[in-house]
Amino acid sequence: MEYLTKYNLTTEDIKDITNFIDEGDKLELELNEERVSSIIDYFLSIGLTNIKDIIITKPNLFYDDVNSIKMRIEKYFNTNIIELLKEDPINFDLIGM
Amino acid sequence: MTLAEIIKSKVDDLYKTYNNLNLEYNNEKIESLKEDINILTTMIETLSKDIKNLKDISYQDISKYISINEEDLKNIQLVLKAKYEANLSVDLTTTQLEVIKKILEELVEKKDTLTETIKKEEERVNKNKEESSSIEDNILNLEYLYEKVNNPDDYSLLNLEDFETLSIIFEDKDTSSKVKIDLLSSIIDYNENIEKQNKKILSTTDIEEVKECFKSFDFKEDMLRYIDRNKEEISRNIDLSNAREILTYLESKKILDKFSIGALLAIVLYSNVSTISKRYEDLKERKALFTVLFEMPSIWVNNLPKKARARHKSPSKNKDGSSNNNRLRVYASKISYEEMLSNEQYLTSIGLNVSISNKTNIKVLETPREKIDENLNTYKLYGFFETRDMSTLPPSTLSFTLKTADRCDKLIEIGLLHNSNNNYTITFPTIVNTMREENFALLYKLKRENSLDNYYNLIFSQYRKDKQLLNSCLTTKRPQKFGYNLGTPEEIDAFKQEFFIDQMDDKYIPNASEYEEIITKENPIKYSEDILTDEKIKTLEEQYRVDNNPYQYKIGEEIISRLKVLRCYSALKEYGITDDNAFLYSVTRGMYLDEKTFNLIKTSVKGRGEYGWSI
Repeated sequence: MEYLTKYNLTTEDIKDITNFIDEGDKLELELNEERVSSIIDYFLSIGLTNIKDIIITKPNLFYDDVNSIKMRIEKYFNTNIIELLKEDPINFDLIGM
Repeated sequence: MTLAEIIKSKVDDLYKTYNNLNLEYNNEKIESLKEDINILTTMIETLSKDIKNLKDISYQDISKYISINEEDLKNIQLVLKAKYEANLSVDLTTTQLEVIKKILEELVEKKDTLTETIKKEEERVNKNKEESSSIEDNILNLEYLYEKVNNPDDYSLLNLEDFETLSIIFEDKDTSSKVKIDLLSSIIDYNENIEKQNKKILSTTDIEEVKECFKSFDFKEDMLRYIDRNKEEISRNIDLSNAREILTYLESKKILDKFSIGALLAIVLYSNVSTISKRYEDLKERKALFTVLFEMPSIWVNNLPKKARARHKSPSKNKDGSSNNNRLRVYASKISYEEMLSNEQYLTSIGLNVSISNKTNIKVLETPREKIDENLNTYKLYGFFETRDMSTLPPSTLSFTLKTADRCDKLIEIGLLHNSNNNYTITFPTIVNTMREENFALLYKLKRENSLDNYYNLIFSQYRKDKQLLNSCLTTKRPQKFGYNLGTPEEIDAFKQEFFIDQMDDKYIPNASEYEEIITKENPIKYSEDILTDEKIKTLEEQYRVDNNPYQYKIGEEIISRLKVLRCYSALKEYGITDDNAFLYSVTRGMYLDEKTFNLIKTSVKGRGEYGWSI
């Protein structure tokens, strides 16, 4: 998961992530750099910079296609969902993700 | 007989034995016996109180249970009536007194016999349950081995675990010596065949040759980097001719570049052209060749069926907490395509937004159905759908791998689920999975030390009143939380040791680890309705059940998850364990308790009702 360092995650952050998520999540993140990166890039593009917390709270998102994620989030663009997600990624629960 | 035939034959035998085991109580018989015991108890008590009461008991009532001379009884009753109803000056003879004494003794004896009969019936059922559980394990292990030896894609030699399974046959005294000799011989044949079929099992491939192979198909640096990262597993498992065959086939179908790197490596290692071409043709014919399927290696590998897969152990962690030795194998054998389709159909039918074709909520689609059902049933039991529709549940909550029910108990006890003014967990069910264990400990402590209002003011973010958000120190890793050092595992351990008792220490609850072992094994997510008629539970219900809240008992200010107590005690009772320690363990299980609170709970539960405690 070293590639996560390019998103300003430290080695300590990556250690925290691997200690918290399950084995299946680890494999998904380790073996799918391209897809995971495309999802992180999207999050950054909409102002979500708390990448470590998102991975820890919602590792399931990184199994999906970035377009599917975009579609589900953009439906709520007229609400304050981005602001809420910035504060705490558990707010993905509010939009069923 | 081949190895497979011997295993199959043993499985068939075990199924026969299993199906013949009677695991049901003869309820009609037991009810009738209990009724008789009640009648006998009343009769014995009546007679013991005063022998004059014999005058009111009929011959038919007594003779139903013991043999008695009708004439003798009539004469005794005549005397008793004369003396106590007509006030005549008559007395029972010594012989008649002896007869009464004998009646009483025989009634007691009869009652004991009937009680013993019930006990034996219960023992019979318990014994059969134990036997059936052991047979189930044996069947499952043998079925797994049967799948392995029948799987043309499995080139692994029989290992220690397989030999342990085969010991079921070797140790069976009803299996003939001839079959056992055949078995030994078939094991040797099997392993020799596997070795002949695939020399790669015993050798490794030079990783540079692997890289050259991929380079010849125009793969660039990114693929070579992945090969390097997984070189140990690849060099141990790759068959270069099989790999070339697969890559050539995928190239010929113009789908080689569609695969993600991780998926392609897993497929090249653990599949073959035959399996891949079958899957490709099938998907193409059904117009289901979605792009996303090229990122899921397990779809292209001939995966074992569910039962066998369940036996695969999750990869063990090495010292660094990672496991690099077989991660591509684990990735490749995650789930079969058919199971994913079945999950998709099921989850869609309950209104959840999942889709293989759109690659939406894939994690839950890759989750074994048993786990999905376990989570869903837990949420149902814990009232998640009382205030929200099932279709609004984030599908990922059905893929949680932790023990969801145990986590819900803790959330109830720290006031975040079904507490009077707070149902945070229903709005944010992901907390079931993400609440860190040290935060649970901290919240048990904070809740204990503060009034409820102060507690909620402390733990919820103060600047966002429109949405209830937990204080950020509870949702992220921080070195300090509410003044306590909780940044490293050592600090967390020290915190737990300083403020909480160790419930597994026998000095608090003797046999706690035995109870825990059973509950962990059974992982109960329901309870028997009968448990509500148990005297200890009845006392708890009467004294501590919170009005209009089916989720809480409350002792002092301490909330105790009612469902936890019912689930755990019910599971222990199924094992015939009903002692006071088991009950106390069911009440306190999983809580972070200081000595004072533990003693409060112990003594509160203790002196209630007629059921004294031995603790």
